[in-house]
Amino acid sequence: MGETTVKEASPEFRSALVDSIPHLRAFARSLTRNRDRADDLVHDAAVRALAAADQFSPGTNFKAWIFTILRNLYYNEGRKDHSRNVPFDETTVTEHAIPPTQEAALEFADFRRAFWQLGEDHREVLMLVGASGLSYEEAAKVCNCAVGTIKSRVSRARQELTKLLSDDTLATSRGEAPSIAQAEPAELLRPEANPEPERLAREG
Amino acid sequence: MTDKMDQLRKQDPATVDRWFDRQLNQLYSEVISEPLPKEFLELIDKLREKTPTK
Repeated sequence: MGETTVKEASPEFRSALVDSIPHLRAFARSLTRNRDRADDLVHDAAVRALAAADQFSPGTNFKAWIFTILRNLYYNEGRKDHSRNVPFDETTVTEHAIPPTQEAALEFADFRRAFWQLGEDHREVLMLVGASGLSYEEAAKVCNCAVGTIKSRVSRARQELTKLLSDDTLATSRGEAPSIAQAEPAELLRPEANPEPERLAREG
Repeated sequence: MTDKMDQLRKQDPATVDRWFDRQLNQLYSEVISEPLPKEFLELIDKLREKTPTK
């Protein structure tokens, strides 16, 4: 990244960019299901954002703005590359992420497994609206679609989650579920770990 | 299926949605709480450098 590009951005812009990096990583992980690929995407988005700093309107939602940049990069470029899977890394499991009770841990493991079986567009809207805190309107801008489309996708995603969580195969595979921090497509695509391999393969 | 999901299926949609939101927030917070890789720490260092006065 060029020094000039960094220095040309205002301190406020640079501060907002720093603050957004963890959130960008979470959003990118939900899109790519791959840690390294997600981090590459975040880095590229940060570079692109700095180069386009003058296009950001102060007072508007910086997170939504930079999520849009990352998403466009993903759909325009990153999505084409499916070959850069990395081995699962257990050291990324963080203690604070473990729910306080065994029951909660089992529920969360089931939820994680169901989440990663969702289609790309469903994972995306749930992460934008349900987790990152964007409004429907902001999510619609990020995804370049109508607010009604986002609401429909969220509704269908929740229905799909309910269906997946009601599937007994989730419980039988409990304990193998990768976290968002651990997500690894090759792991998810193992036939014994995934009840719908054909669907995931179609999604690429 | 967990007992919780069995219970949730009998709940009203708003209760299920709240449960989903809690799980999603936990999923999200797993990543945002991760230590940042070196490449990002270097980027942040650059971004935090003060702009030199002209």
